[in-house]
Amino acid sequence: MSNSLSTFFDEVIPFVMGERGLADLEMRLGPSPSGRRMLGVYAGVVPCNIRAHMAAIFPAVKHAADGIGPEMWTRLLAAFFVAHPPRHGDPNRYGEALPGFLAKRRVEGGLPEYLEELADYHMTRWKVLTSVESGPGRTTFVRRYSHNLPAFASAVSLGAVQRAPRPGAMTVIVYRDPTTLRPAVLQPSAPQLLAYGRRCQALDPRWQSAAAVSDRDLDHAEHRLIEMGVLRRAQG
Amino acid sequence: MTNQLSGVGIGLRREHFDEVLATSRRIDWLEITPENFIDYGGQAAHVIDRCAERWPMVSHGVSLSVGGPDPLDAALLHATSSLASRTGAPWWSEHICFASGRGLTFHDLLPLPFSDEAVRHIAKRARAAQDCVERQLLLENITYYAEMPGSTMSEGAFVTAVLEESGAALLLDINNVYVNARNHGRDPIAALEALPLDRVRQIHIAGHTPAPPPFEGILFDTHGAPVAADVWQLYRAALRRCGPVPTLVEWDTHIPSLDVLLDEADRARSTMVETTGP
Repeated sequence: MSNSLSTFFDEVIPFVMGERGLADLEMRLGPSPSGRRMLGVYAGVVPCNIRAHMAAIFPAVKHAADGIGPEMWTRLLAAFFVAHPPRHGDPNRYGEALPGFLAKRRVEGGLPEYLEELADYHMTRWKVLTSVESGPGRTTFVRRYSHNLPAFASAVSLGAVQRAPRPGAMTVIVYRDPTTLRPAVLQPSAPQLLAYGRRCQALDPRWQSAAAVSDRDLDHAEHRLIEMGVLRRAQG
Repeated sequence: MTNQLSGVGIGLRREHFDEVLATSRRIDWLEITPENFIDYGGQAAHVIDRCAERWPMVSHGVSLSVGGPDPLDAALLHATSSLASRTGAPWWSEHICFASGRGLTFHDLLPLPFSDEAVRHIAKRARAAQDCVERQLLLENITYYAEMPGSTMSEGAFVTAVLEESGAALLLDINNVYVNARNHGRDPIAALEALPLDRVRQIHIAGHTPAPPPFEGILFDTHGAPVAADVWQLYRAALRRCGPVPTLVEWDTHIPSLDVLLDEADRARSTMVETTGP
């Protein structure tokens, strides 16, 4: 690549990233034959594109952030963009860092916990939808949330006016429906949760005792999870 | 097996996954954005395999950054090659643009200066990409809202030189020709004829939108509306010059029902038959 083309990239990339103004770019590269107004279309076009992608990927987070304050979503995304410059061609993969970013901001700035949980909920559904491999941590996730996020996210997708999820801790299993291949959400009973843990080899026997769930109830719950497609039938 | 394309195709979008598998309406072929399928399992993988059984497919990438400053993404190229083999694609396409650089991705198709240096730079990388994917590469003329500083030639001369030097064919985007002509105060027919029409292997038509403030008076290439009347007219002009080139109706934002999209595809098919004969 020639020096002048390399210089072009060095100067124009900060411009499209919103780090450098139009006058500065013109001073460094010269004017566009199309004129200043047309070149200005590209000023900060990348954060603008990212905002559109993130709003599509995290609609319930945006809706809840808008409910906190009119500029909250824009401010959060601007800070996210600075902390996490886009480095992946798939916007979904770029968005994987958002739940952790919001968690950090909560500690620092008093954001409600449900924002990061909603971001996690969206990302979990995306992983369930798209994972090549199947099984726990790929197409099946257990999540404990402080609010009723599935109901809120569903309401947002239908155009709800409710501005925040309703409080109330809940445990959910997000899994890939074997028929539709889409994410589905189960609020499991105690036996179902224990049965899931048993299959994932993560069941402490003391939990079963504490919950007063018999082996027969556990087997029955596991059978039901298999019927729903949350678990696969055991091999052998 | 490699399929041949003819007639009018549509872009396969997630919003239509269920409808497209169930439809009995005519679809001649499908175009997929590889970035939406590579490394994806589940529903996307299922749908692409079912569609490949039924329709010819080609892939149309958006993130390779053929004109960019960073090394070509070898993993993306290999995955594009695998996807092309899996779907029997006769060719694959990208854009004459840069979409990433200095380790960052822009989620946009950005223009380079129309210059000899840029021609050599893009052509060299396009040849390397084509060798890697082992299929004919088509490069699309993009929408550019501004000629970048450092430009020394017209868009038509630039696109012609890139294709001649790279050996790539032209994916002629009629909407982009129209939007560029309108935004830069040129005659759309003259803009069309300035492109290397002898190299056209595929055509795109799409909708555009008037830009919001502060860019009133500019057309934005949004792919979020029906094809405009003037673009249909330019499409006919292109068909008269190029013949019945396989044509894709693109619709990427504010995506309507599949039936609405297929109505546009039917109209394109009728236009092709009326203009070039059955």
